[in-house]
Amino acid sequence: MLDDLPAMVWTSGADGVTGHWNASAREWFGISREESCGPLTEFIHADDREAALARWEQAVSTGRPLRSRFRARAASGEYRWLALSGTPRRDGDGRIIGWACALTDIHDHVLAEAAMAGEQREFYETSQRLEKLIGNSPLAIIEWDPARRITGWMGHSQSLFGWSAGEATGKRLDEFRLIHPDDRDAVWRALDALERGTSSVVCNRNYHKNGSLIYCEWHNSALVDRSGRLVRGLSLALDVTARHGMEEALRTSEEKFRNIFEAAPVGIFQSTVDGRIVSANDRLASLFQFESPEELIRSVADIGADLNVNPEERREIVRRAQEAEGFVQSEVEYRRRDGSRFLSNLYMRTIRRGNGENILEGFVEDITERRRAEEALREAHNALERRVQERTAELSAANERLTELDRLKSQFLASMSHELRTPLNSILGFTSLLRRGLTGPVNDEQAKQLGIVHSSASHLLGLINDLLDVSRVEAGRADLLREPFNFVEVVNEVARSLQPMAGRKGLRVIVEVAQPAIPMLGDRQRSFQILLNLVTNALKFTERGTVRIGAVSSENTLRVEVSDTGIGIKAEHLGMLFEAFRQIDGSAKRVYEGTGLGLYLCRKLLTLMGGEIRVESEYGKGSRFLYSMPLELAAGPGQ
Amino acid sequence: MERKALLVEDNENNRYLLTLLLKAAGLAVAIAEDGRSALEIARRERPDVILLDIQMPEMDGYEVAAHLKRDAELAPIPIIGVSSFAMPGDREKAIRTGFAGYIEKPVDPERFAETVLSILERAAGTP
Repeated sequence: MLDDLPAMVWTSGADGVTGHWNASAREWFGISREESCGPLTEFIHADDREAALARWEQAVSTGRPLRSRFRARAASGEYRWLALSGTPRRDGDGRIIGWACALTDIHDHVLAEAAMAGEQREFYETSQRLEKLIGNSPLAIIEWDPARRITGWMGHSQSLFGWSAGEATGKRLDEFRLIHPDDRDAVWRALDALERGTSSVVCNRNYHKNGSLIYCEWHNSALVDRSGRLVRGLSLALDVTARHGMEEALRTSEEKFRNIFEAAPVGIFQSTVDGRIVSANDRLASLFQFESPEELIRSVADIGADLNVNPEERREIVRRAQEAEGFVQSEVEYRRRDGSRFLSNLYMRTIRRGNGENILEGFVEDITERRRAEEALREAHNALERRVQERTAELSAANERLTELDRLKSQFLASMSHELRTPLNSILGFTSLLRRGLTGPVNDEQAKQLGIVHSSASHLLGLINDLLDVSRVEAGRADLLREPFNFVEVVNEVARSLQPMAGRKGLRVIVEVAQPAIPMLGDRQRSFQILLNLVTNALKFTERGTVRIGAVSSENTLRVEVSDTGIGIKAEHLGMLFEAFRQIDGSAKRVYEGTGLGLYLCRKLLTLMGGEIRVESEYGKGSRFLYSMPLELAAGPGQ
Repeated sequence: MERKALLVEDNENNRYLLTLLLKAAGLAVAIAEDGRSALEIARRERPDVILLDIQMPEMDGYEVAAHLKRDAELAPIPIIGVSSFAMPGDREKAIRTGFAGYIEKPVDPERFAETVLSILERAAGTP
């Protein structure tokens, strides 16, 4: 009965070890009718046997139906995939008495399955790879329809342009701020061409959603139908903003350097060691009187021979340039095209080309004018120096003459002093002798006349002395001494020496000095002279009353006051009081003897000593002279 | 004993005047008209005091004084400079050179002899 089944059946006992094959099975496995009973396992492929047995034994022990698949050896000896479906056979009591297993050749099916699985895997891997590629690539991928409406917004579209797929999809390419308005027409032309079948790469400006400008390179391609009509456009956009920036910078930089090179006011060159010019700028050409750099390069075969006045100069600097690290410099004389020469300042260095060849490059500067200016400057400088020397010599000579004049003046003063005083010595001396009666009696009239002679001679002596003093002081020759002395003694000495004069006029001289001593460091003689002068004046201009001398030291200063009860000084005369030859009331009558130099001298001396003098007076009532000077004379160069 | 002054003076009028003044003061007076004869007379006369004009032709007062001071016997004699050389420092220079005194010309007839005598006294007091 089983033999009639077209399906393959194997029936076993309860142990499941051996069983019977039906005809279909015998045919598949290549088993004869005589061998219709036997185990299945020996046909199972060694690789699958263990797993198949395990499943079978488990089914037998549990009594549950089983399904399994394994490779088994067919009649041809080929292993083919079989599917086994086993069911337990039971008796009336439900005990398992055996197993019925249907076997199906599923080999072709399994192979088809496996093939399909492989394809799927391949597809999966490909799509993964693509996704990765798209994801890793910086490309924005945009798909659009014939109306140029966006149908796909993929890849880096959102990150590059800022718009999301939702925002962009459905919009025409020029319907939102995606393409720079100036580039829109160019883009449209490229897309028109694309529709006619010409794919293109376009570089144009785009906008990010935030408004920033992006430079993009677009790779456009068309998907067309059988009739060649565009169904979909696919545009891949690459952000080249950074590249564009670099290109721009490079272009600008190149332009800049080219400009500098072209417009430089110095000649710039590149040349070979053996003397050919490789490149030159306009200035270099014009320096040598060529129309263009090209003409110069063409015309000069050997720089040393053609341009250098002395070819050795070139050999020398080329040698130095090859030895040195950077630029070397030299002044070189060149010959222009017309044979005229010019002096140049040449800078040169060696640069090593990639191919190992050494190239020279550098600058040529025409310094003829500069040299001329420098020489003119040097000449002017020398002329100036000569002039200064001449003037210095003249001044020196003048100075010598002045020194000589000064010496002559001093000598003159000394002689004057001697020559004028010697006769006065006689006049005063003998008058004195006569008046004192040492050589015989004189009568009253003679005594009176001798008195006049004496006082006139005294006046003359005073005048000479004052004049000499003034000359010395004005010439700065009143060398002040710096010696310790007591000013109180000076006051007393002045009072004592003028007592006879005061006595004759019936005046009282009152000394008002509270301090027992006023120690000073300075010129005693000159200090005496100043005070003597002032008190003498006071006595001269006072007819009755008193002359007071006051002195006090405070801090570092000596203050002296000489006051009288004399005629006083008119306010309008106070200003000129200390000037030379200004005797008050001199216009009307010279009642009072004096040279008119005394106060002038006092002020000059006080100034020299670092002091000062002033006067207060009420006309008709008296005068008050106040002066001050430092207790210590400043140490000066004359000391 | 009468004391003796040597007056060295090249100006005749001054010689006359000063001689009179010195004699009036009770001094004997020897006279020299220039520096060279002054040295001779000083050695011969051994005066008690020498009045020496500073400005003289040929040998001036400083030079005469230097010679006198180099002579051991004459060196102690006080020398009084008489001078119209009234430039600053003259007096100091004279004192520095070893002069016992300095009288500026023109001399004050009333004080000349007095000054000479006082210097003479001082010199006698300190031999």
